[in-house]
Amino acid sequence: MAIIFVNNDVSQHRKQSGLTQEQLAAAVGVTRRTIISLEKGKYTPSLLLALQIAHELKTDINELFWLGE
Amino acid sequence: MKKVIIEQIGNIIMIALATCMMVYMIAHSYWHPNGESSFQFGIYGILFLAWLVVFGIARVVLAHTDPSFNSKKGELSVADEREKVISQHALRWTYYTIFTLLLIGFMTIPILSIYLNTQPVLFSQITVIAIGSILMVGFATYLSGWLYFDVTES
Repeated sequence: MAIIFVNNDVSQHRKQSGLTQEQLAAAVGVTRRTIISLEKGKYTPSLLLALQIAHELKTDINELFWLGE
Repeated sequence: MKKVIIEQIGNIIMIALATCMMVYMIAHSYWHPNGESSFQFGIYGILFLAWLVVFGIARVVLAHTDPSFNSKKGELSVADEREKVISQHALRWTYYTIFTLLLIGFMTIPILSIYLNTQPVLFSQITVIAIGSILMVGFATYLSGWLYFDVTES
């Protein structure tokens, strides 16, 4: 199986948590542009950032990120 | 993004003025073996120093308005991991560009020295312009790369 990109559901989970992009960015120590890019699926975060986002959104990392073909 | 634009445009102007100053200095300065010497930098020397002051102040202001700008790291300042990735891509472009141009210069300058062996001043000026141009192209490449990858990664 050829893995091409990482899908994510950060946007949905962030909205459920009642956080804005700005708030999530500040909580995990990145810029708002990074959160926008990540939610669009154009930027693949590092494992550390992915874990930080999952922790901040109080969810499992596998609920947020999964491999896509 | 703003920090990279300001830093790189500032660097390009600085090198352009330094190049003009050195080209003027080569044409208007001398150093005789008997110890007599004269160094003149012309209006470009004043403009270069003035730009160093203006650019220095601009960098201090930028450091206050943008916390991600580190005046010691300059254009390599990054706010987060995404900007670090963008910077790495832009640096790769810059590396290839500068080394390609240096390779061309490495092969061209010796040939040019043969043709211009009776005009040492012109040869020196051309060499300074060539080195200055490579530096300016390097800065412009880093800026272009940064802007390109910032758009494609967001």
